[in-house]
Amino acid sequence: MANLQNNRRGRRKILRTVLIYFATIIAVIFFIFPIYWLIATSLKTRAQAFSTPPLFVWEPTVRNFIDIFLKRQTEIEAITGQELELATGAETFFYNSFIVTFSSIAIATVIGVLAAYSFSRYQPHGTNTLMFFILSTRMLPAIVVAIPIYFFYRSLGLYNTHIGLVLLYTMFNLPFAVWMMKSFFDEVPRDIEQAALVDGSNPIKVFYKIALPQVLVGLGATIGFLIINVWNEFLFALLLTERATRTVPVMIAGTRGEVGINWGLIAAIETLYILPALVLIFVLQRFLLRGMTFGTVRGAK
Amino acid sequence: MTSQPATGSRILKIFPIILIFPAVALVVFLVIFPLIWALGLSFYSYNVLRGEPPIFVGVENYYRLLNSLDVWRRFVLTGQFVFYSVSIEFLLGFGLAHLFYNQFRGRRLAITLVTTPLLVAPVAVGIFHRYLFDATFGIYSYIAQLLTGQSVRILSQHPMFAIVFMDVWQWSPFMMLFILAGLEAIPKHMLESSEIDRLSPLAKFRYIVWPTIKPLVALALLFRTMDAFRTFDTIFTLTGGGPGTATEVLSIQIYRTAFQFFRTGEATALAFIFLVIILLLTNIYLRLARRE
Amino acid sequence: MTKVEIRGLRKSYGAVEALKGLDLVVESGALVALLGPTGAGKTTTLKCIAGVEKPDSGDILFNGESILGIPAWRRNVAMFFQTYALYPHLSVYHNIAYPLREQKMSKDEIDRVVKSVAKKLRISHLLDRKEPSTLSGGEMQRVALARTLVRNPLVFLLDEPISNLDAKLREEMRTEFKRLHRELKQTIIYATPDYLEAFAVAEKVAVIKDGVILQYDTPINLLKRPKNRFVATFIGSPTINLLRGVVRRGARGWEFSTSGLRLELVSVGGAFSKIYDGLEVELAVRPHDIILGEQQNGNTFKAKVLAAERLGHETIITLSLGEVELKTVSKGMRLYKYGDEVSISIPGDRVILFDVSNGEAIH
Repeated sequence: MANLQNNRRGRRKILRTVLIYFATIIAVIFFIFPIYWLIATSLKTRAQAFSTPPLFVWEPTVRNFIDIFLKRQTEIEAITGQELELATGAETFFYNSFIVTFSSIAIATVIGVLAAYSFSRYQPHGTNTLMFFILSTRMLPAIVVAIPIYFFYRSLGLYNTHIGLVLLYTMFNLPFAVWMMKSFFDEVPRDIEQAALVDGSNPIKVFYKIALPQVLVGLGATIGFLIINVWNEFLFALLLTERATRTVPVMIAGTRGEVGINWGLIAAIETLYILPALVLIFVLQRFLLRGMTFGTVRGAK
Repeated sequence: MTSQPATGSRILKIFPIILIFPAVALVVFLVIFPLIWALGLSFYSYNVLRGEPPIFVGVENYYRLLNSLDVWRRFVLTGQFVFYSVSIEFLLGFGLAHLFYNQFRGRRLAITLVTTPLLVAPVAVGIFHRYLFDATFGIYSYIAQLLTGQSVRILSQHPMFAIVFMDVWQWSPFMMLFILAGLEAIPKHMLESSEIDRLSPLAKFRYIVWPTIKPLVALALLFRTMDAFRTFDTIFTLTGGGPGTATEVLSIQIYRTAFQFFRTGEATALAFIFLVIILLLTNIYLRLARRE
Repeated sequence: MTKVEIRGLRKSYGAVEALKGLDLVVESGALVALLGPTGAGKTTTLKCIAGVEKPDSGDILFNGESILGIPAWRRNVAMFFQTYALYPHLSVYHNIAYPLREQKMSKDEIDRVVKSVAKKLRISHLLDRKEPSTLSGGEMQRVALARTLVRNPLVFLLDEPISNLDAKLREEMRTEFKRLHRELKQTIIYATPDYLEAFAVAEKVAVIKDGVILQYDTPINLLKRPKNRFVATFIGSPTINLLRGVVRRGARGWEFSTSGLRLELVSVGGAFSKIYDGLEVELAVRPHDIILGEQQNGNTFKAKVLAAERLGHETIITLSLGEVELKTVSKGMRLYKYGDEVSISIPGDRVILFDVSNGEAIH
């Protein structure tokens, strides 16, 4: 009798496991497919990308990736018999994106962490109102501020400058960085810091020897979050840049109007662009998952 | 119990505040000041192209906007978009959270994979879905054709579906993360005692699961709703607001008014109405959440 | 060797007044116990001395000089925290070595000291552990203790250092501390809520309650001459017997009377100056002072046995005397059972009177 029951229970468990795996596979396929297709398309020639029905098996080519940066001037070839490869200048866009992201994140993080620590430990007057204010800036639709800032920047000469964008991104990310890091610092027990004080460390040492190591996880999550925000930012980059300082998102969006576009090439650009983000998540996955929800939950209380 | 450091570190108490000061000042400069300026501008009629100085028109911009059927239609459209997107995201996120709540091999990898859409640049998402939804070459159109037997022109016939689909694809994992975090916060012993008491799944949900995850769900819904209202990048790149004005949500309309038609005064007025709507909604939402 | 003086220390946390004018003098090289229930202010006092809390008013002096202006990290004080406060991101070895590294000791020197302290506390095998959170409670406590003991400070502050260990280990550690004190010859302030621990370890004990020191005396004096009701009831096991009643002038001198009882009081050193007829008092007598059997001092009563707890080496007998319940302790195994009638005698010179209005002693 017991055997029969165990069998039934065992069977139910197997069924359940199968269902779980099945659902998981479907979910993963649904969410990963466009990215897979994107990478796949980036490895197709123009003709292959335009095939009907869509190709699932084809001969991959990396030509698109090269084409991002070098344009083949086949017309010139006809005249001179040479295949010239001219730079497209696309590397400027990538460079701009990188510079702007790196700078603004670096500044926002440094200032943000220090500020968050002081808010957490010393709690100067108005800390809570400031936190609430920070939360409410998240509610602000970017477009509302975009219009006046566009005019400001033009008149102040910040238009089409690296500094202008860096300044903007830093200021937009700083509140969030402070907010998140403060909640992480709040989690560090005061006792440990007091012990370090008694053991002979002055408050500065206590900060970077004791407090900071405790929040490394949160710091990783915050930085990851900020990077994604800046790297992918579009609206302000669109409004405030010209060719010299243009970032990649604007370049990608610029392909919209073209007719008969080379989807393979566009896919390659996008693949290249989202690659850092993908790498980032695989590196920081443990931190990001905990940090994304953890930080915001704490702050909401 | 707030512990105050000893006297010697009073300097260090002031130091960070000095540091924050320029930061706060700049935030004020880049947020408050523009807002006030924009508010002021909304009372003027200003067309950059015309080259004339702005003309003060008082509340005429607002009056005209609020009385325009067109504008109200856009409100409704935006509302529709938000409603469809957020509700589907919630359902999907809910289901996924429960799925991933189970422990199984490869779970961590699966979660990582499922959350990748969150990292992809919205611009890239928009542009690439143009390809995916392309009537002739897009693979989604192809699949739709296989399923329905007729050729479907998603972008022209069902633009709302397209933009909702994109949003759902990108942001459902967000909901999932929050709800999953909530599920994992449920104390183990409560679950165990519910096993012993043999609670039905429904009762278990109502009394144990729901109360614990409620604050996180509320927070996730709040964030996502606010963000959905402000969606710009994906829709701009996928449809640009079209075909025609079929997907012209508020943020896109404001953009167009300001930078395509150059009716800046009107645009800022519309932007402010937009801001007010969001603030109102947030307020209502928080009040509802607090009452529970 | 530092003399520590605390004068009029006051500290509030928001609306809660933790220290209400605390005075204490710890002689150089002494081991003084700060004894008090939870919330009395022990931790706050220690933290003020260490410098991680700032008092609202009052002064703290080391060897006659005020240290309030000196920040915590320069005060050269070693403190053991009640919560252990181990550094989670450092290995056990580095936890213990941390204060020494702040003092810029040489690496070899640090290694020597850490290893020797670890050996003394029997945690040498734990030195390589990377995560202190994986240690058991007792191990964590010893690591924290090691971190405190590696130093050579002006004062040692110990906040309930052995309260979470099991009874056997606690006993061992108590003797350890006494030995340590003899070896180190340092000034040690030891906070604990356990009076037995305080008595075992310290030469003088300061009883603290509600932010003030109630009595600062040797253990014997605390036991025999408690200055107030709280001290008397807090110290001693089983708890001191208390009877409420009135002092009257009787035929042969002062008497204490309560329902159905009359006790003759014998003066010990002129204490009678403070009493008057009709004064309401509480009479306290230690269970150990109540004698079973008839005596000649006249305070003999007949009592009924209510219960007898046989602890092997002694027996605690609960008696009823009219409407009053008393406990007494008797050596050895006594075979009393419920309902037995016994004679007990309360020596008139061993009782303590407490004024009902303020709890102060008037013996």
